[in-house]
Amino acid sequence: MDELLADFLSESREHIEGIESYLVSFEKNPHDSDAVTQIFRLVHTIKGTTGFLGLTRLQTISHACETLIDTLRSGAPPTAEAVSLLLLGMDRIKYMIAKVGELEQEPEGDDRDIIAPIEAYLQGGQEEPAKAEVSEPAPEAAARPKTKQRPAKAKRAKEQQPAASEPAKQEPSLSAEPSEAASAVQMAKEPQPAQPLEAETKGKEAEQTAGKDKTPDTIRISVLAIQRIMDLVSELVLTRNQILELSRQYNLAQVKAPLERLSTVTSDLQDAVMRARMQPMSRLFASIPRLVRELSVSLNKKYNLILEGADTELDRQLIEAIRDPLMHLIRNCADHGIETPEERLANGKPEAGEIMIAAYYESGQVHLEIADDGRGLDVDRIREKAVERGLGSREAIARMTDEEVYRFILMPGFSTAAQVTNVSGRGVGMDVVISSLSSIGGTIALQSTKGKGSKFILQIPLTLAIAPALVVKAAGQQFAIPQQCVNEAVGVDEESHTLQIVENALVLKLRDEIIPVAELAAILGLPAAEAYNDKLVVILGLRGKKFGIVVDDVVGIQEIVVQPLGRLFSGLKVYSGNTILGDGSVILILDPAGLADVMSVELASEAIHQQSREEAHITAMASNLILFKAGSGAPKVVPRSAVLRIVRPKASAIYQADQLYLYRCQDRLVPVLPVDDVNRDTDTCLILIITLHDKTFGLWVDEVLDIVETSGEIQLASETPSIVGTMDLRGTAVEFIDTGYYFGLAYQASQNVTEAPHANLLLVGSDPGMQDMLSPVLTSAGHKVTAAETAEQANKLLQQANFGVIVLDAKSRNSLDETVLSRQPDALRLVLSDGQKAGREPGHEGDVLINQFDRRGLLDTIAAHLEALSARVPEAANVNVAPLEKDVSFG
Amino acid sequence: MSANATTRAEGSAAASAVASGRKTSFFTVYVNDSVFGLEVKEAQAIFRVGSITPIPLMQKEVAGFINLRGKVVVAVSLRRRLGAPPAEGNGESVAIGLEKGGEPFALLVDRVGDVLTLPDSARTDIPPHCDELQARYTRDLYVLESGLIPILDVQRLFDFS
Repeated sequence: MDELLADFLSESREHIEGIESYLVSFEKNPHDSDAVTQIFRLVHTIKGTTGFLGLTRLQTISHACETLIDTLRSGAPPTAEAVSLLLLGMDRIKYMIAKVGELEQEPEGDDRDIIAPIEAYLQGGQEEPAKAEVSEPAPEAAARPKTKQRPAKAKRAKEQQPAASEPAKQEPSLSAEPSEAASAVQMAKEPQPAQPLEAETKGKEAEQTAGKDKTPDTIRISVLAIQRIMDLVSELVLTRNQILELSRQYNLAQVKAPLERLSTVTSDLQDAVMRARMQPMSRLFASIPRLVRELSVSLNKKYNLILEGADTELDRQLIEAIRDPLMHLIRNCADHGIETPEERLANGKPEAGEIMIAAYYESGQVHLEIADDGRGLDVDRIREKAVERGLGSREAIARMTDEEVYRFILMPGFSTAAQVTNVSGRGVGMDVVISSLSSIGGTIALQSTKGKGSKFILQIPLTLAIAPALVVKAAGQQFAIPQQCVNEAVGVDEESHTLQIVENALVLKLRDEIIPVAELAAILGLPAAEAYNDKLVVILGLRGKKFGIVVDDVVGIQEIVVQPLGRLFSGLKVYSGNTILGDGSVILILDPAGLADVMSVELASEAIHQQSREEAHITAMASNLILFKAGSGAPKVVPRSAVLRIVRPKASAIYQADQLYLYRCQDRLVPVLPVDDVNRDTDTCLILIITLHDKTFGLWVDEVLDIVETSGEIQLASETPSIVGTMDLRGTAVEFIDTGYYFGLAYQASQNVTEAPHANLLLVGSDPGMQDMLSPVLTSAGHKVTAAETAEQANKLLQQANFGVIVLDAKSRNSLDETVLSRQPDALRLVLSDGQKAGREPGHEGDVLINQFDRRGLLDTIAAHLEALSARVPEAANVNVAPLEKDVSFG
Repeated sequence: MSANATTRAEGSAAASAVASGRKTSFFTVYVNDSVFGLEVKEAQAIFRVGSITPIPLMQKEVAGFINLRGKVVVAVSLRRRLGAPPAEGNGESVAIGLEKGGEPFALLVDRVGDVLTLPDSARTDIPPHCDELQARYTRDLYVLESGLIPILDVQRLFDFS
């Protein structure tokens, strides 16, 4: 793109942002001559430059807008109509600028629809400027002389106009604009030989008057250039450190003083470059007045907007990142927070609701407050809604403090709004606010008083680029953790800070709290240590949740320059970036949110309380398979999703009855099945509690080795009934346990599949591995299997024949033709899930989700379906039996 | 070393291009006793590797991060890409700075040898029976008097999708 054009586009976008806030403040305070001047200046610049660049459509619209502003500038009352016309005009200009950005030229079209109303309005009010000028008293003495002077000049210029040649008419106000001396405008003047010399001198004179103008001298630098300077500064810091080290080594006294100077200069340079990236909050604030104005119209409420701290500076990248969360919160305030004018008057409040947005520095962060004087949060309602939504028992939620209860509204899908408006209330958004905030290391707090209003406080780091970080060591490697998430680091000892394994999850007892912890080395797949003594636990705090990571050592705190990782690493959520340390080594920066995710620490939900803690599902690494050892054979795996929890009861809690072991678990007896020749002569036993077909049983194992994430294939054809097959796990062969087999043993209900009715079965799946794995299983169970590799094939086959059972993978499911399917309402649709997703995906109505590794469950489900079907046939054939109610998913 | 090599290679390439047909210059890189060619114009820098920061959980072909003059660069091990055993002693001590899609990468090799300037007439496609891994990361072969030299496909070497 042409460089001039590119410059124009980026400048214009900024100009328009500026104009909007000025327009709204101007509408409120028509005597704000400063605002009028600013607006005029900006529109005029756009007009001048578009004329110069030959963008005629833009030029005519901005000309119309300019003429309109000019009348306001000369004192015409800023009616709502004028402001609306101007906003429409600005919208068109904005649209055109966007289009020009795309096409590099103006799109075809006409702007009469915008210009005609403006012209009509202007004709109606043409007389006014002069009148206003004469009749208006001068209440603001300070502002007056400026405004008076300018219209006077404009008049003089206009008088000269008829003498000028025809094209000059297009820009009647060109010479009349005193504060504008942009070179583009000057150049645009050139082709007009008739331009009187006087105008030039006037321009100069005007420049002097405009000397007070607060526009600072700026140049445009690309962000990349700044980034490059930053990189170089980092390198400089590094070199300085090396020289410092050398001078220390050789004790070079002579260089000490210059070195110290170099040191300070380097730090100052670093600081200066950082500052260059900072931008004032006003960039963000500029679009708020218009947003509030529009909300006021669409919601029929009145607002009083107060913006404070527009000069607070923040890293440019962060300003963009908080734009959406901020706008969302404002919408929320305007819609839910502030009552209708009638309600407000009835409650003795002023008619217009107050929305205050304030930015300020506090303890190395920028705080951004969004406050309203509206109805405030209704704690009782939120409590009620939380109980309704099953976020905790009534008692547990009643025990929570108000602060804790407020946090519920930050959860996805949580809305107490009685009415959904098109502005907000769908319960979508607050969680988005949280996630975009946490992605930049910010946090949100909430205060509220019923009837008095509420206040959101966003805490935002000053810059993404430099942050203090805690450098830790694990498995011999150093890692950095953002300091703002670190609560404390504690040493592990035998007494007060003990690490324990509770239900197979490592926890730290710290004072009165139980904090889930995990070894950093283990999370990262590095060799973990055997003992936890003289290790350190770094306690991290994120969204009100605490969790810890076990590290070997804490090296210290360093200021780091965060560099994001490339696209290549997008799959590794435990890292947020890397940085170069003072000694030149590269270090990875851990992402606390990613760590929490891997540790399955439930950040969003606060619902885990006393009672649920006992029942807590295992807190462990999210994954597919639990790897364990039982007896002398190969290590074994079982799908993680099939395991409800892992318990370690005392041996005395296990009873033997008949062939079966029973474990007493909260007044229930759960059958426990020893896996292989597991060692039964121990004080405590380790039991995996499995749920299958709505029943619970335990597998008695020796030791849980690991929880692994794998997509390995199962080699089928196993002779042993207790296992599905073997699979390769990081080079070791492991046995894949058939939970269905043990289920059969536990409940003596193992069905002899070969005796069950047979089905005409359609197997759909693009993955040949899946076909290979399931086809023999299904065939050997006596079913007639027809295979289809694609959904199209399946659709065709479904049209040709009737199938009792359709087994398909999730991918093919979505491509199946619903109308074809609906013609076979009796067909059981078994959708294979990959274990992890089981039960999470909503799926289609009537579908049965099943774990693709659960061979037995698959066969049993088919058998149960066929039985139910055959039992039904003698009854009325047209009675529609509800589909299998239970999803046979084990998630 | 790299600067010299580049000038020499380009000089001869230009000269020979005039004489007969088109010619291309390649660095010879050695890894695990095998030799490969790497087009000179693709290499931005050749440097000795200091310390590498491994990236736990990342594919093993990615050796880690290298600090290349104040810039963090992802280092990919050619050895591991080719399924060769890990380096011993002085292995993988040299890195070649390359670029894919605007992102800088470094390719770890055992050593870099001379520059060869080869005529296009010596080029052939990869034969179908070639070792699968090797075939995936090479784009063509050049026939030399002393034997064949496979040319590395930089784009594929750094493709982890």
